[in-house]
Amino acid sequence: MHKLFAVIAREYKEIVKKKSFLVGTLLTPLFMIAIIFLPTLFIDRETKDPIEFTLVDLGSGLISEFKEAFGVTLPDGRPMYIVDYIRSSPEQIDELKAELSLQVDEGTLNFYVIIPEDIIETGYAERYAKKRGSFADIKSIENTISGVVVRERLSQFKVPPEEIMAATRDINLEYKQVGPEGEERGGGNFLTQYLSGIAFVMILFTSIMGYGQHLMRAVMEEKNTRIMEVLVSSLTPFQLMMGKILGLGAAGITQMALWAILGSSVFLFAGSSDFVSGMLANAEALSINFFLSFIAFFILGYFLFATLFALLGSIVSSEKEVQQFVAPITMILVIPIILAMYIMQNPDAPWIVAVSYIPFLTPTMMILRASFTFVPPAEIIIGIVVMIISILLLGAVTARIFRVGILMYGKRPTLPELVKWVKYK
Amino acid sequence: MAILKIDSVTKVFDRKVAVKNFSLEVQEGVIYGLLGPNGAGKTTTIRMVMNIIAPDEGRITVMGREMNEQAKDRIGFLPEERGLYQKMVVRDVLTYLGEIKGMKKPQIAGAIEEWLARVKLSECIDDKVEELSKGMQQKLQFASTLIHDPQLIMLDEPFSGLDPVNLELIKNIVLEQKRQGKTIIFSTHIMEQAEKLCDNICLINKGEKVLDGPLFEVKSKFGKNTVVLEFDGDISDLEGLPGVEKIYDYNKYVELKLHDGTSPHKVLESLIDKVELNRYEFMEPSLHDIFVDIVGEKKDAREEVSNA
Repeated sequence: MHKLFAVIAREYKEIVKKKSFLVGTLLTPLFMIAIIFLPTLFIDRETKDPIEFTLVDLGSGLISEFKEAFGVTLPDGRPMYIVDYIRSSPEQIDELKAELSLQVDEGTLNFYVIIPEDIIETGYAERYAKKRGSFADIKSIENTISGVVVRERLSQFKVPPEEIMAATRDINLEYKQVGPEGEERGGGNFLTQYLSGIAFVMILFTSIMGYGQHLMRAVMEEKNTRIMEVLVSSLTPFQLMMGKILGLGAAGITQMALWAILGSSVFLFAGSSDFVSGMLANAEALSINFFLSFIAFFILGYFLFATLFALLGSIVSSEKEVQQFVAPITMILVIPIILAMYIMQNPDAPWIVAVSYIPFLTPTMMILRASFTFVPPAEIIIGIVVMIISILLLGAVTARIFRVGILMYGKRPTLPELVKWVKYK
Repeated sequence: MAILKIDSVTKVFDRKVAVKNFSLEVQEGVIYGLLGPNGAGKTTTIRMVMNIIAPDEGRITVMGREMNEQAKDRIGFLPEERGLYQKMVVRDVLTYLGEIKGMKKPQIAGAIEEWLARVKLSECIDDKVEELSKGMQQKLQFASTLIHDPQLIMLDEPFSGLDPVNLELIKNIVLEQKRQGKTIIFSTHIMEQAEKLCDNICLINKGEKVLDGPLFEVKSKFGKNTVVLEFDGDISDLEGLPGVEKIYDYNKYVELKLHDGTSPHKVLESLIDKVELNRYEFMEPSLHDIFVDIVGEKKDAREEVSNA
């Protein structure tokens, strides 16, 4: 035990004392925050400038209503839309279209909208543009035209104008997630729920890849600098392997703790932003069960992958070989993110449940599912058992390969050779 | 008492026999040379003694017990390929290597000062390993091997790459350890070193023991059958001398191995007519000649000499 602690302490100090640890610990949250906030900045910006376009009316008789509806202003007082209104008729439209399309093509006109004479009956209008344009902009124009037409139809039924507004207001179907024993949690909106699920998987992904690769390189370097020979004359390969995994894990926990402190202080300052408070509401809504299973699968996932990286570290001898292994492991970790949209809609689909019992997928799949739904405790327990068995099996195999691999230099072993190593006495 | 006993040990790697039915008994307080060409099985043997790999057959006992993890703490091991943590400070490296040999921190601090003084590196205690020269790193590694005061010291090619001053320093520490009653086993393929230092030698070739025993016994077994000579003339003049089995050319001098029963006097007589002699000496064969004689061709022998 004394020796194991010595190894753990050395590995821990080596990482924590590095400048890159401090820099990474400080910069990663900033990077994460940038990723979260930058898109919201872009979304806000898009609506800031007025939208300019031409509206061609072919005799709907609604021009004044359109003028009123498009007359809204931005928060800063500027008009939201700058519209050029043209009255035309079905006979002249081809000539006009040719002229306007030329302007669109030359870029002097963003786009133009044609309101047909019978829009009230058909509910059909056309927009001519060179590119699709911003989703939000198009939606707001569509909604505005739609509002004018719907109100016009209603007024034909002699509904008083002041009641039309009230009658046409949309309803909001709020999502409340139901769990066993009448438990419920607010689901937040679609986007924040999706993003927070991804965020938890990303935390696991970056930790495993960051620390795992470090472990792999550290073992490779000890091989290449031949210090391994000295180490194994004092320690068992198992002590060395476990010491490295645990020492790194301890450094990881230190980093997480620092992030938790940093993160909570950042949230305190930035809590006023709508997006952050949405994320926070979503996080609060996740039950204590979720956080317990997150921690369990985080730790188990770290151990499983760290063991795998230790195994790989003992058989590689160059940076190029390291890269060859990093790519497939990244793929394995990314699979749940690719499936995230589907999992969010069907977190209990039988094949999703089955996939979440595949050892290297279990941690990410379980964390993702648990952030979207109430995963039954039985499934969590099966997942944990699967992980523990996998870690023990892989650990036993790794210890045997590690023992031989760390003293083998040069050519990377083939799979049959690895099998032989496992069998060595 | 035998501090190390290797009993009929065999180790096979993937059909290649690394060590075959190898036995060795090392008494306490001797310097034992493990000699053999590259790939003979020296390193595999040492790794089995260090419990890094297990023998397929046979058993190894250290200090009267089956080799186990605790016994590792009483052995000091210098691997053939040297390596230390380059980014660590000298003090930390030695502390760590002491700790994983089971030493306690307060005990280590004293040992570090003592050993750094002995290898003349005291002023480097707070330097990073990578800041030291290659020779200094070698001395540091040597110190780290002995820092826990081991009973049994295993040195794999301890003298390779040392300059004469450091070689002398390390050699004196080895001799001092022997005087303190420690047992030293070292492997080398430089026979001159082995000849000067060893009490006993064991010669391995292709995984098998070919020679084992006290140095003087080994040499006397081969009898006085060697002539050393220096002369003016060409080596081709020596060819076809009666009674000469082999010629070892060392450039500055030549050794002749005589057939059993050949009189050295006869050889001298026939030489006088052929070349101008500066030196003629009749003696026991050098360990080098024995080694080459048993292990290989004359061609290899020249390579060994140039390596030395």
